[in-house]
Amino acid sequence: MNKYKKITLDGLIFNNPTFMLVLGTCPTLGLMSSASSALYMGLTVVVILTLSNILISALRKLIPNEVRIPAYIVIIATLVTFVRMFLEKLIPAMYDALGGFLALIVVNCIILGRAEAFANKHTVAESAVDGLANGFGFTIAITIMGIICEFLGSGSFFGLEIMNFQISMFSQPAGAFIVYGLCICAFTAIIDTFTTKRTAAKNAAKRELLAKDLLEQFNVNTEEPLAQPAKASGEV
Amino acid sequence: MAEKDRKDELEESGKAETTQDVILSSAPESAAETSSAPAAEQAKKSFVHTTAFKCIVVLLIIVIVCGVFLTICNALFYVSDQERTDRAAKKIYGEEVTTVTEEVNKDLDVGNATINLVYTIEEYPDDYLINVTGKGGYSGGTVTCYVVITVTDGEISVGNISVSENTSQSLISNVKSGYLEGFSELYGNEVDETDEYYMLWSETDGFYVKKPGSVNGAHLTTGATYTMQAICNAVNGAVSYVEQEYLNIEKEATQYDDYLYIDYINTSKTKHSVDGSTVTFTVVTSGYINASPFTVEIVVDESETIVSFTILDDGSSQAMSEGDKAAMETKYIGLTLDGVLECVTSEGVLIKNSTLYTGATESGTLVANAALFALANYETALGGGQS
Repeated sequence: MNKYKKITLDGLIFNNPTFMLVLGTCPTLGLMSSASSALYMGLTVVVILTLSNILISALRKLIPNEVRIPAYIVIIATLVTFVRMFLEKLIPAMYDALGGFLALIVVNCIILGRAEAFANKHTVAESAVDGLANGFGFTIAITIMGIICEFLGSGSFFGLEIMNFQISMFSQPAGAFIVYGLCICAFTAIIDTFTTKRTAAKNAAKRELLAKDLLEQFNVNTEEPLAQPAKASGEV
Repeated sequence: MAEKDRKDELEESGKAETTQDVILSSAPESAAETSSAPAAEQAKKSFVHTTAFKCIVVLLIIVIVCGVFLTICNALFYVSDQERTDRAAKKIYGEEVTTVTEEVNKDLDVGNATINLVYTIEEYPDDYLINVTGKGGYSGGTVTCYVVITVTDGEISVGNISVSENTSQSLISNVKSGYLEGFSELYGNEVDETDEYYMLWSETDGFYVKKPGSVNGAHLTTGATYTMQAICNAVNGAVSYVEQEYLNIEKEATQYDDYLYIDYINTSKTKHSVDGSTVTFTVVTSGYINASPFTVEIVVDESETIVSFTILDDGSSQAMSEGDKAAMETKYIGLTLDGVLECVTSEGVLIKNSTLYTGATESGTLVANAALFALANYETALGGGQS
């Protein structure tokens, strides 16, 4: 498989940071009550994650191993501050929606985790793709959960009131935890089913190929029926 | 001669030895000197080539570059106070308006709020746009709002509210714009209950958050009860400020205004009666964060101790059982002023795990302050009024 395709699929699905790695839980639970806040947080994380991956990958050979973590945190904090200033000036609605969770992106495990696990060992292009993939994986996950929580907790969809019935618990962290857990269950079950089927099909194809190779190796004509072995005559 | 020669030889050899010794003894030193100089240089050079030095340099460079970058960003993206005000005004009025700053004492405390700035609007001359910070938010935090107060023919009405900043209010995103719509409809209309809004209004308490359990009640609806209460406090502060500064309406004086420990007491509803040397206070407290006002009957005798303590109206956020009420009342029997003072902070808040603490800080604070009021003002009340 093309390496960029693999990196993308890993970030989006097979190693999804929210459902599979359970990283970045704090902003996830804090902003799930509103689908639009969740979407805004996701998009902000995409930008910061991609930029931080690019910068850290570009500087990986210059930063000594002993101070890599403080260096990464300075870079990530700078990017978060820049994005914060940008949003406050140019997109104030998004800035207000994110509130105090915007500054918390500095200590978001996804960003530091990908910097440590991927960006400091791969090229700039690969790190950029990884940042985009993980960022969008996080965005999709948190937005889906935000839609569920907002629908159940406020009866609305992205602020548009749909129904009068509300279960207020889902507007609060307790309900968000429940939705998060159930989404992890559902996502893991779907991925397991998909990977099991894929693995089974792959293994079946492999077995067929192997059998063919073995038969060819022993020059067995597979189209003719196998000859019955001769009875033992006792001759030496 | 031979001896002399020999002596000379010895002396010479001694000298030679001495000289040799000098040479020999000095040789290692010079060798040491010559070898220590390059060693020092080597030591200096080697520090420059160590990892520690490289780490320091790299970190410094990263910090300086990031600092310069952020300085440039700050210059490009700086949002001034005036810009913030114009944005809030546009959000409130739905159009661009011209704001003019009024002179006001900065950080002026009014009730449970602080007035920051007051603006008039050229396009709406009857309106005052007040930037006010409401206290009593979650975890002791605050919420800063822009509140529109309209004064027409001496009558006040509350307009739109816009929340601008907050401290420690992590669930403020739960306070949606719809929750802020009740202020203009409710101001001046004292109702016991309404299903429509998340707060109520009363003449004495101003705006306050509805109790949990009622429709659109606190806790379960916004998840941000304290935040809503801070917003209510901000609006109350803005209204009080306009009343005092622009309409010269002063709060009606009561006989208890000069009494001690009245911070948590509703002086307009409290009363007392004197029977010989015994004073019976019927104290009505104010609300405190989540707790609604309590009404407590306290009897103080000539020894200035509490002989009877009865909670007539329970304002706790989770209604107390009879057993809990009785347990709380019993704690105050026989107490003196010093005994109550030991259990509260200098701001009058009940100390957790003190002898008067029963598990409810807010309700306990109100009840303790009722006791403080009664005990501290016994003599004044007995004397018949002003302290």
